Amino acid sequence: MSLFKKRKLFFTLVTILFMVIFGSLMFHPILQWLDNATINGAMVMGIPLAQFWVLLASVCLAVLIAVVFYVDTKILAVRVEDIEEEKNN
Amino acid sequence: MEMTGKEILISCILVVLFVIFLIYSAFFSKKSKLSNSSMEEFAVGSRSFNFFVVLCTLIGIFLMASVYIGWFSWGMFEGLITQYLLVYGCASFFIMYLFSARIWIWGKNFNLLTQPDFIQLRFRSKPLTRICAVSGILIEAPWCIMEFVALGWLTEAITGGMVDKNIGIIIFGAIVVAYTVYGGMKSVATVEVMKGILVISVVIVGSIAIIYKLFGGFGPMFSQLMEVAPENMTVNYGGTYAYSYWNSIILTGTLGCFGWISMFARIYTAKNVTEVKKSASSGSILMVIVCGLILILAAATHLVPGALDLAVPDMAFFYLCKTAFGPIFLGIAGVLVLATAIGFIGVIISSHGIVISENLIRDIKPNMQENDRRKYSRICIVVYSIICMGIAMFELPNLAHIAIMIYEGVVQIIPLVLFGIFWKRANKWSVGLGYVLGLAVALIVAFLPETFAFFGGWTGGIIGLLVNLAVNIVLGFAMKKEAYVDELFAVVNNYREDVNGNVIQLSSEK
Repeated sequence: MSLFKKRKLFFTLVTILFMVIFGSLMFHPILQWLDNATINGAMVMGIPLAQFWVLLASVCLAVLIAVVFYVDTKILAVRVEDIEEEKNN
Repeated sequence: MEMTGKEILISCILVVLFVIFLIYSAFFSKKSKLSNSSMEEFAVGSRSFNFFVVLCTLIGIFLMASVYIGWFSWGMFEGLITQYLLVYGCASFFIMYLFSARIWIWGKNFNLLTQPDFIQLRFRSKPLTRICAVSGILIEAPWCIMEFVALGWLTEAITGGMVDKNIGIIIFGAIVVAYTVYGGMKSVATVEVMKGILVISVVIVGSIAIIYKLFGGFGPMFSQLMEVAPENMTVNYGGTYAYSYWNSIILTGTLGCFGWISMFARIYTAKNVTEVKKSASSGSILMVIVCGLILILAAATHLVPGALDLAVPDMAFFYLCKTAFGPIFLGIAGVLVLATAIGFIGVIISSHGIVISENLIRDIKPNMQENDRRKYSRICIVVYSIICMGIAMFELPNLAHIAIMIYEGVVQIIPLVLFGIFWKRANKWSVGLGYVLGLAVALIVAFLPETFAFFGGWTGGIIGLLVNLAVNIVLGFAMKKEAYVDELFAVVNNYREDVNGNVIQLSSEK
């Protein structure tokens, strides 16, 4: 698989992950469940469930971007040879 | 807020020390001095900033002084709902990572200094550029005004009410205008770095220390909150807000960050694409830590005796700091808010003044030399600031709610930016009509919320955005692609950097 195909696949996967994490904070049934559980006293590691979820999702987004940066600029970084090869193909 | 003479003295000494250090950094440090007469240096620091400087300016978009004032008091009363700021801040940095590279590449290649410059390059329409310049300034100006108001409240907080807030607005406003006019983006960036270091150190250490001092730790704090006000730990504040409202404010916040004129100015200051990406990546991590701590602290303030009964709820942050660690920490909190407000104001007045000069006045006087361009930019910065300061001296309602309303307008520019960057078929008619109609719908729904209650809590900004997107897509396909667009996109597609941020030259281009 060429580097550009790998990059496309990687960014597609990242976009899906982003939408899943972001969506978990936007989907009404999930929010409803979180709030009901919190009012009934549900806690995780001493943190009310809804608060925990917001923090966890935010941390996941931050980690995702950090991983994207690392992969984008180090592992799947574009080199001159890759561009020349793509042009020849 | 009641303070003794000694407490006022300690707070003021700390603020004065900070102001002295600020004046030295902004006017006398090497990094703030302009080395030539170019507009590029004045407007975007010659595109020479590394990721940490860019990061400090970017984080200022989300962590302004108003967060310690309006948002903090809102969080004290209603808890978790205010953490939409945390969510959209992290999501915005993700979007920024994907978008800003292209914005920077065009900026570097075509010497763009402002957001309207980008619009003019992409769509080649003077009327559209002018509309976006004027509306962009009108939409972002209230944020600048809110920050001036924050300066006023800060003055009252640290002087125990002895110095009127309007005097504070004038004094601190004059300082920030002076260094912005003196060194342009270089001075502004120097102050932003100072603020960034203060925010990282004071907020992280201070928040954790306060939580342990006043509540015995995070666990006990959350337990107490759940006993006293469990609805504060729900997303909808016990059913007060519709979930669609939560969705709307997050979506408009996430997308809206690219609508700010000042966002483009911040991106253009980076020295290469790698630094832009690095700042977006580190920004999200910083956002989680700093913003998360501040807003959790705000929710916890609900438990502090006397906090809910403050005559001015916007003073809650200062009240908390004084309660926890006395006047020295109050002074440090004052310095933090002062630095944050000043840094933010500097970026806004600089970018807006330059837009007025470069994109509106220069239309009338196209033969302006570099020196004239800087002169007019400086005049515009001063005049613009005076107007904002004047408005800030009036009585204004809760700052956080004003900000959310403003996002309804700013989000309408997102399809213009999004489609402009990624879709070759986007043209001046599709984006222009989409923008105007979207803005009109947003305003109508904002002013007549009862008439549009059937939208089920979704804000006017989202509804306007849907109309905006529809118009963009229909007209984008209906009209012919402009001839110059392929060449413009080729500039982005052919641009490559190595891992150190150096431009890669292809053998065919040598």
